[in-house]
Amino acid sequence: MARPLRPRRARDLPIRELPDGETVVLSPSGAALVLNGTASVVVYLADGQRTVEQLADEIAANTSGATREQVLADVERIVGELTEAGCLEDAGRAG
Amino acid sequence: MIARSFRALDTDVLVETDDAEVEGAVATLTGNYPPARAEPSLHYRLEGATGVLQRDDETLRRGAPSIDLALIADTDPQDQVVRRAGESFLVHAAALAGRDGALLLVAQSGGGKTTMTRALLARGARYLTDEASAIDTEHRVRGLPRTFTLEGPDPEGLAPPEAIGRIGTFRYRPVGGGVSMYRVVLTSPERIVHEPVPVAAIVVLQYAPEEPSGLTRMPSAAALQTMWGQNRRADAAGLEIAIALAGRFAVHRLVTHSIDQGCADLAKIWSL
Repeated sequence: MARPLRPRRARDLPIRELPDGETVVLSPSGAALVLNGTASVVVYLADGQRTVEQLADEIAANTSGATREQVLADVERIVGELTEAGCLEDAGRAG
Repeated sequence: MIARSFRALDTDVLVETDDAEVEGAVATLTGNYPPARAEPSLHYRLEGATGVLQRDDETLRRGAPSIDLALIADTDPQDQVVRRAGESFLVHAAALAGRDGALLLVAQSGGGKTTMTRALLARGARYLTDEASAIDTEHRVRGLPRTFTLEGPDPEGLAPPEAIGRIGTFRYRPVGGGVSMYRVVLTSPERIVHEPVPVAAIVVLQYAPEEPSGLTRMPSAAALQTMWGQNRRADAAGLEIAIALAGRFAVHRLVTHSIDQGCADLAKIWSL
């Protein structure tokens, strides 16, 4: 499955928080996916307007201890996994 | 037609058959359930002569030998009542009632739920289920109190089945041919709890012969993923309840190599 250029949360994707702050999404296949910090930010920011690179830029700007390239690689992997799980979809290719 | 009705979780079930032997087997298999409270909404029809198994208006099997009908029909109502249960977290877990409330034992198939359930019943616990639990938004559990199937020798240290109830039998055809007697334990009625019981403790049973035995507390994320991995119905309402349970309760993981040790470990967090 191709990684979307402008990822968007799947419609009506259930997103919840555990009492200790971790984010959980319920994938369309019924799996409860507990997200790490970066993945939870990706899910919240994935509105179909931002590209993967723009997501990485926003996250990198608020992240210390990792280069922009490292954050981009992380975001690309997360977007790929969440797309595979049906939690993100492609809002359309960049024009 | 011989009719038998019973209630399982929220569903009233009616089973009708024209075969007295099939009816006897159905009565044995469903003997732990209370009577129906209302007009049954789930109907089964088992015809001995034609081998027809019908659920509502749908024919599920045709031409089955009558001796097989009861066992074929046993699992379908369990799946159906779980699907039809009200808003709840439906989980593949045993549940027992004790002094402080219910103990949930979460495990995959073969993980020891039935063995530990029988062991705790023999020590005085009361029975909700060894298979499927429904936890509502107020964190109360109800169970599917199916009978225990007796297959082969019991594990070492387990009390004889007569310690928790009476043995029921009926004929069946085992794999490999021939006819044998199917044996189940019907729990003594006074020891079955049909009403909701507040959850008091949650334990994940782990088969891990290479690890030392004992109880360890699970991080809430791991507890949620393990519990949710055993869900019987994946919906958002169930997930909400599972998340709340993972946050509210200290979910423990139990590795045990003996029934006595397992019961002793459970006694540290839950009172019979």
